Amino acid sequence: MKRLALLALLALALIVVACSAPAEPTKAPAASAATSAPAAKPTDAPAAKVEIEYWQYFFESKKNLVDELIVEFQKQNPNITVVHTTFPYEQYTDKVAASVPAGRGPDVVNLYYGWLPLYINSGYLAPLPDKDFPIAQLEKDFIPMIQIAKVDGKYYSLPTAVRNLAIFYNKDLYTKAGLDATKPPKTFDELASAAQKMTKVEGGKMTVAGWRVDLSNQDHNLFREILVRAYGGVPQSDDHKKIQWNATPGGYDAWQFLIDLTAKQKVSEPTLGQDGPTAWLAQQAGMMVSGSFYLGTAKSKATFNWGVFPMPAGPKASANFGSFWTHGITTKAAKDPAKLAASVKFLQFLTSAETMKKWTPAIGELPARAEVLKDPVFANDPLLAPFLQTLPVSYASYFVDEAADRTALIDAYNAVILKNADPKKSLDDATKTVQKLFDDYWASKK
Amino acid sequence: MAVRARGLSLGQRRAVWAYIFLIVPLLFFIGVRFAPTLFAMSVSLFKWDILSPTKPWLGLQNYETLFADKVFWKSLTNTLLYVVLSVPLELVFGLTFALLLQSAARWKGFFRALYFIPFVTSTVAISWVWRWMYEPTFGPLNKLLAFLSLPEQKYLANPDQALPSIVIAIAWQAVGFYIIIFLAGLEAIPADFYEAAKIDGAHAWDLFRHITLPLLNPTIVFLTVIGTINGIQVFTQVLNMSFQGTGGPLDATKSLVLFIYQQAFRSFKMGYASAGTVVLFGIILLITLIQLKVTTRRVEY
Repeated sequence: MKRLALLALLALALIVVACSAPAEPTKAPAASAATSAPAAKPTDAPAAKVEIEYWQYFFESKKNLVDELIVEFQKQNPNITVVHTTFPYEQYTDKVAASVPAGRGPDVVNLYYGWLPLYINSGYLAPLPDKDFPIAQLEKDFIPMIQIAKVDGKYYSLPTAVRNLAIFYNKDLYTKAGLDATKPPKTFDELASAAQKMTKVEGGKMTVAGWRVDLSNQDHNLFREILVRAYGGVPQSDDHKKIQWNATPGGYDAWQFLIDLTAKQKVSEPTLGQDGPTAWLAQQAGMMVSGSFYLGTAKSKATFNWGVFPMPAGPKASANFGSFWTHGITTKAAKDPAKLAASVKFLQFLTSAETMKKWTPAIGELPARAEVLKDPVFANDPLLAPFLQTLPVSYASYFVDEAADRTALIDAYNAVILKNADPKKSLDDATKTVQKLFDDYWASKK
Repeated sequence: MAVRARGLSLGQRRAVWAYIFLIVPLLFFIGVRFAPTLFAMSVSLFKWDILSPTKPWLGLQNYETLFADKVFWKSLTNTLLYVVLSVPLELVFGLTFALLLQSAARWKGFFRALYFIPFVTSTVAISWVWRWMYEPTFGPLNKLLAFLSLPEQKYLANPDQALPSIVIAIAWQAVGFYIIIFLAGLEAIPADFYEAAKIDGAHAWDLFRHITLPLLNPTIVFLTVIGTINGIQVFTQVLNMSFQGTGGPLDATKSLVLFIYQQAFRSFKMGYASAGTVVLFGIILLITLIQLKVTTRRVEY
């Protein structure tokens, strides 16, 4: 009896302890760091030891490089320790969602630029301190693409590198189809006809897609920023309030071109090889649209000869889609002067010209500082040159809800391909859906 | 705490001990089940954007938006379809195999284990294997159809076939569990009933129709309730098998739980997602009550 009573008591005690355990046992050292360096200006190195946390999604080459960079940064700043945490891309938003209510999470966080309005509107990121990052200087030093990250006249984050898109092609399949790899397609029509030659159908089934169209990968971006402009439209109004995909005949032409690749010219099959990159790696696709960030994967995984050619032009214009992952300082870090100072230092280090010079060869993304970009090393690289060539005409889309925006286009595309919906109507529907997202976003800002 | 309290009778002491031991599971249920449920209900009344420090009061506005949301209705219809299609399939196959297994002369244990294996296998792994089987170009199912000169299908990529395709995978996995429960139910039927009926000249179908089926009623009720609740909560299979992993194509396979997940963890709208869970809770409660009322009527033979 006595033993049982003890057991019951023990169980009770365990529960009580579990319930009352402090939510943040690690708070103590941070607080002492803050109080011991109250007079330090944010730009000065903190006198006491301070630990900051950096989060990014898991991408092997990025994780390894950042690990190396942190070692170097800590050598330069012996008082700062950076804890580097990565999560699988699919879980990234789950982790952020779980950490915020718990009052934990990163001090410096790596986010897709398209998520910024959502994060900034919610008060997750703090504006970059003006004295450490003067806006005029930033806009002079960095390429214009980063200005899409400016919200309400302020910058909340800075990128190390930017990416844009190009055509990855399988050289073996390309030459086998009787095409000349030294003369890449210059227009989208030439690209489509090259794709037709590379497509293979056996027994009524497509076994090789000339160009695997995959809207859930990059081809929603291909439509929005590249095809719409190439056919004479402008995807959004300058103030980012109006979606104009269907505002010009060019918009409809661009949409029709994308649809026809599967519906009419039959160079793609929506189910072939799981997704675009997988199909391309398995040689089930001759070409695909992807970004410079894919160079590393292609180098390590492709078992065939391959190359990259620049994004072709349309009948009206030449354009490319640019994007970037960007490092911001969280409001959580900004509340603590010591952490803020350390985060500023780390952010300056991550976006320095020296870091960028290491970043591009290791990751494949292009440097975000104009001066680093001029380095002839990049222009002479046969794999980077096709990306660099169209960088001046690369546009980053303004997203208020990137996932919903993408889903709207995927649904519109599927409605036509799988359910024979009217292409024009499907584009109108997608435009309407996304317009509503924007209307709600701007209404919530007031 | 009064350990070995004096002046209490043996019966009273026993009761005290019973309550002491009940406290532990009770605390568990209050802390881990009831409190979060009530919390979720309250969250649904706020604009609970997870990243935002302010959570303004909305009243019932989340519910209004929810009932006007086409995707919500689509996923609700899909969820009911998952239940209506999967439960009968599981019951029929579960009972058929249980009857066959019961009459199997040898290797009974082996077959039982064999049919039970899918149920204890990781759902994610099973989903992917089925996804590859359904693959239109290289998948074995289409290879088989081609061999039989039948028209090949798109399965998961076809908005009309995608949901039934997932239902088949769900039922395939669950059937092992149904078999085991049915077998237990069958074992519980006294053999005398069958002997007596046989002496009276009953045929196999009569035995099944008038003895087996009525006496299995409690088992069928139990399995229907469990199957329905599982069907309403379907998530993993849809996430892993659906075209592009988002409940597509065109939301044709999106279940209510996947819809809630996407609102909560993709769009960070916790309040809106909570409104969805409250509706889901209400539906499960209602269905369970109806099933218990309608199907547990005592029938005397």
